[in-house]
This record gives sequence, structure tokens and C-alpha cells, in this order.
Amino acid sequence: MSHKDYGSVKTNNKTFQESIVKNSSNGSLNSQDSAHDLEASHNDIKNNKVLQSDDLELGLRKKILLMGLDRSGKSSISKVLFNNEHQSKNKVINLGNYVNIIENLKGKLLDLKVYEVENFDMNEILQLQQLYYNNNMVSKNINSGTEDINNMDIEDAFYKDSGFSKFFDDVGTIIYVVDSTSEYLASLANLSMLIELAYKFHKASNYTSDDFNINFEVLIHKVDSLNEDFKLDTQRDIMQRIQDELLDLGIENVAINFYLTSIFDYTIYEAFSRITQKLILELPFIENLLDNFIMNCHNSIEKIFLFDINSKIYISTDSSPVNILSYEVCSEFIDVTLDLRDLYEDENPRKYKNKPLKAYSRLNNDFSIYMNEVFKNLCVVILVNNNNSNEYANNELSNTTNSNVSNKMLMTLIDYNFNVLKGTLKKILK
Amino acid sequence: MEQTKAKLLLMGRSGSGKSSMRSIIFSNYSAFDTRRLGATIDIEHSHLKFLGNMTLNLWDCGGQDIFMDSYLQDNNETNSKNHIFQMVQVLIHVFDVESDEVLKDIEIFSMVLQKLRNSSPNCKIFVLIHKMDLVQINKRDNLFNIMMSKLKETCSMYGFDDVKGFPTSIWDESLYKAWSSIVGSMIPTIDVYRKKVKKITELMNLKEFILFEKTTFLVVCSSAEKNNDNEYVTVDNMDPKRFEKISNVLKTYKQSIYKLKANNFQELQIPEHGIYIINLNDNLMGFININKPEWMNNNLIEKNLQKVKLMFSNIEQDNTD
Repeated sequence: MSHKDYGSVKTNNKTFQESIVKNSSNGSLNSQDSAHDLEASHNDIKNNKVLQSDDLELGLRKKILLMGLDRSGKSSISKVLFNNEHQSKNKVINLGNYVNIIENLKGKLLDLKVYEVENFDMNEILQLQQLYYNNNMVSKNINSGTEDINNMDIEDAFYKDSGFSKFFDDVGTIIYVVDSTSEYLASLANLSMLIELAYKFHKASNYTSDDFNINFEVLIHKVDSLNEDFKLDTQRDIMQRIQDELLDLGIENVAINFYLTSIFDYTIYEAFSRITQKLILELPFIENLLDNFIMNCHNSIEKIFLFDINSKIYISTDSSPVNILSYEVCSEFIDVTLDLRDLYEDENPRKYKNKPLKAYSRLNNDFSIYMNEVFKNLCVVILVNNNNSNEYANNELSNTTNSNVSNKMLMTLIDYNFNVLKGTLKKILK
Repeated sequence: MEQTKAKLLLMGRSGSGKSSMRSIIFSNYSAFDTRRLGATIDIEHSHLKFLGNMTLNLWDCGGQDIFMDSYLQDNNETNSKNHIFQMVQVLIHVFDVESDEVLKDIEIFSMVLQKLRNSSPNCKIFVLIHKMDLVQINKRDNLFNIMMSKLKETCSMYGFDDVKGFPTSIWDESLYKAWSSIVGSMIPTIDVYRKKVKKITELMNLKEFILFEKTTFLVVCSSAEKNNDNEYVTVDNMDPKRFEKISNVLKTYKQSIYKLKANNFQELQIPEHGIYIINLNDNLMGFININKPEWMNNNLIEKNLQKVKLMFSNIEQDNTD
């Protein structure tokens, strides 16, 4: 290896660093964030100005990286989840020749910083490391002439100095997508290398703490084409392999979660909801609030969700277990409401934008669905079970008025409690 | 209560999509589910209750050549098959736009028409040019017009001058539009509904009032409709496809709430935008869009909606009296 070679690597590193810095400044503060948006596109200027005043954001400080081999389904996932975004533009940032990061859109409220990483090839990074290593050997040999070069030092120096350490800065979660329908061994090998790399970078940047706090979330993707038994087998196989690998590498304390997902049903939403919730610091408070909400509504509430309207990710729910069916119904109810509203929207777009989105539907059985917007893009969806009020409403005409009245009372109660909840949420998030 | 029975023949070549559209409109299938359907063997009868006192007798005729031949044979001895073409009120003939043998399609169509001329000359003819989604968007209109002029020619040869055609696809709203106007043309009491809709729209100063049939979410009539005609008044700035879109959305919603074991919904309201969808009676859903909802008192709206419900719960009793 010659010095020239090293030089070229260095310049690459420089561009890498620059773009990374751009990236992180873009996401670190809300005000900067919107400023960035402002310059990004003229169309959004008005929107942003309007929104800024009452726009609150949950405190997500951390980035989410969406990674995986080519054709594992990363782009389709982000398309499915974030395509409703009006300012949808994929910004390609070239990180040297090694990593292309497609900056994905953040959900406005959630400020989800999801970055889709393309062409992430561990071998290239290893090569880079090797190069760095060799060069340092050479230069140290030339400069000092000493014999005793500690390999570990150089390795640490690499992790510390190279631009890649910035890559893992601020990263809260790495979502790794494994295509379950193809041969996934290569993908798993890549993943364990990635974990090792992240781990070493972390260790190199702060020697003392061993609290390795990046969550690894493995999406075992495209499971819609596997049958039920095979799904579980695949999951078990993948989990086993990764655990073995990590054991071999001597890496401990890494939190890895596995999800079986498919973009054709709600599993991908469910997985993303869980992943996001881990990053929300205020989650316990919010959950408590929702529990209180239920308690104060005469036990007539079956389930309550806090939704991000754009991505249909639920940010929080009450502490009772989540039934995927009720999640689906609630999320579809949002869609129905939006669709109906949009039908007449183009007549007077500005006026509609400012109106809160509120909808209510009573079903033929005891259930009702109630939805109300807390603030821009965040809404509450409640499944109401009118069982209590329904004893005398057995579809007889004389009694329908009665059930109507009790139903109305319940709605008023929920409306009132909703306003209390809204006020409190605003306080928490400010 | 007097029962009106109407016989519909659903015909077309094999694989043209007859059973698919029947399942979507009447059996709550989603477009995706229709993949499961196999070929129809012989004839599948379905009796569909529509608007309470009306029964649609839908004959879904298998389209494979062997069945087609048997329907069209002149077998006077057995007479078993000949009853197919008797007492038919409506013929719905489905054409596959991607078909390789257009001439054969038309030939069969004309044979069916010939049979109908003998057995039920008063029958209404609808042709659906189906699977339009497979054609490029800019070529659709042209293709449809060519097909229609050809088919109209064929029809008039057999004395059927009043033919209506629709371009359809199960993947968008066009299917609802076609079936709405087919079924709308068969409702005997449609004028009563029209009058009521007009009156309510004026009284409540509504932007829009649409009546939907409850199980199929086909449009029965709407305030934007001209009298005795299926042409719609184009109200400024409103989406011309909105009826079909509403049908589609509500049907999706209905499917969605099956998960909560509810077979239908009583009401759905988006008050800030003045949208109210209410259950009017056993057969009808009303879609109401109010002008200037922010000027209206909520209680007033509720009261009005109850009045509207009362009006429609009486409507069927009025008819039977």
C-alpha cells in the first residue's frame, strides 16, 4: 500500500464527515429542522409557517437507521409507512463511495428521523479499516522506527478518527431488514458485522461506560409468502444464528428484537409502532394519562390509541394488551375519515386545513369509534363499548331515543375528557 | 307488501369478469379476493333483496363456450334451457377489453340478442366494457367509443335501440357507477325517493344529499340528479366521481368493522366538515353534506337528522298503502 492510496481514502472520509455533519445538524433541533425545510422547498414555506405556531413535537432526539442488503425491502417499507407525506422527496447524500444515505422524511409530529441506508457493504468498510491499519503501520514504522506497535491502539484510533464514528452518533435504533424469502445467511453475516462495528465504535468513543444503547430491531421481512409453521422456524433459526455469532464475537448487552413483518398487512405498522415507542421518553406519562382517561369514562372504553396520522404508527395506548384487530379498525377509521373529508376539500383548502379533524361513528352492535385530533397529525382514536347504556335499547322504536340520549351523554363525557387530555399532552410536550 | 321481481341476466365470454363483479357488488368481496373465484359452472342464481320490496334475480351464466352453446341451442324438445331468456328485464353483457377474439364476442352477443328478441323484447340492455384498467389511460376513451358504436349497431339490428354502455374495472370506482345506474333504472318507486331528496335538500340547505342502498352501497339517487335522467348536474368544483368514491370508502369501512363483529354502522359523522352519514331505514343510508356547518347549531342538525330518518321510515309504508 502506498501513501497515495491512503490519500484518496482520506478525501473520501472528508466528504463523508461533511455530509454526516450536515445530517446531524439537520435533525438536532426542531427550529433548525424547520429552517432546513424552509430552504428546501418553496412550497412548504407557507405550510411550515402556519404549522410552527401550534406544532408540538415529541422528544425524539435519536436517529433511526433503516438498513439491510439490497432488495430486502427497505424502500417499500418506507414508502408504505411514509408515502402520505406531502413534502415527500428523497434526498440522496453520498457518503464517500461507500454509503449512500437516503434521507427519508420524518413524520412531522413524531419527528422520526428515519434514514434509509443504501449500498451499505460491510466489506468495503473492513477494507477501509485494513487500509487505515496498513498505512498507520507504514507511517509509524517510518516516523519512529519503533518495533512495538500495539495493534489494538491502531484499531481504536481508526474507530475514533474515521468519519464513521459520526455515523453511529445519535443513533437510537438500527432497523435491519432481512428478506426471509431469500438465502439470508449473507444478510445475517452482514448484520453481525454491523453490530460489531457499532459496538466497537461505541467502545472507542467512550471507554468508560458499557451501556451500549443502540437498539437493534431485526425485521424478518416478506413473511407473507411463508406459511405459518415455516415463519416460526425461520424466526427461530435467525435468532439462533445471530446469538451464536454474537457469542463468538464476545459482544454482550446488545438488545436485539425480532419482528415478523410484511407490507401487505398490519405487522409492519405494529413493528414500527413498538420500535418508535421505545424512543419516546414521555411514554410512561402518556400511558398513564390514557389509563386515567379510561377510568374516568364509566368503563365504557375498550381501547384508546394515540396515532400519528400520516404513518398510522401508534405512539401510545393504554396499558391493556393490544389486539391487532382493534388497531386495524382504528387505523382504517382514520383512513375513512380522511377520505371522506378530502372529497369536498378542494373547494376551500385553507379553511379545511385549520379545522380539527373529528369523527364519530356508531356501529350496529355495541361499539362506537371516536376520533379527535389532538394537534396537527396526532389524533386519539377510541373504541367505545356502549354496553352499559345498552340494556334497554333492544332496537325497539320507543327505546331508540333513550339509547340516543345515553349515547349522547357518553359522547359529551368523552369530549370533555378529551379536552383535558389535550391540554395535558400539550403541557407534557412543551 | 307487493314484491317486485326483476330478472337480470349476466352474460359474457369465459373469464371476462362476470362473477368477480357480482361478488364485489353483492357479496362484499374486495377486488383482491376475486382471485379465489374459479370458473362458473352452468348458471348460478342469486336472489338479492334490494330496497326491501324488490328482489333482484341475478343469473350469472358461466361463460365457457360449452355452456354458451347449450344456452343458445335451439332445443325445442327439452325446453329446459330455453327459460333462460324468458321474462328478462335486464341483460348485462360483459366484454373483456383485452379479448383476443372480439368478433367471436360480438357474435355471441348478437346470438343472445336474437334469443331475447323472441322471448323478452322489452328487456333493457347494458354492456360493460370490462378490465379497463389494463388499457393505457389516454387510449381508454377512444377504445370505448369504438367498441360502443360497434355494439350499438349490433343492437339496433335486433331492435334494441336503447343501449347503455360503461367502461368498468374492479380496481376503481367505475364498477359502482355502472351498477348504480343499472339498478337505479329498475327501481319502480324511484320518483318518490327523488322527490323526498329534493325536498330535504331544499329545506335543510344541503350541499349534497345522496341515498345509498345499504348492503351494496350503490347510489339510489342524489340531490345532484336531474329529474328522470341519470345525467348529473355538475355542481361547481365538486369531484364528478365522488359518488363512487363514497361507495368505495363506505364499503371498505363496512368490511373493516366486521372485525368488531358489527355487520353495519348506524351513523358516521365528521361534524366539523358537515358530513353526516346516517342509517335511514332497513334499506337505505343517507349521506348528507351540510353547507356552512360552522354556522349551524349542533342540536339543530341532530333534530333535523331525526326528522329525515322519520321521513324515510315512513316511505315504505306510504308505498304499500
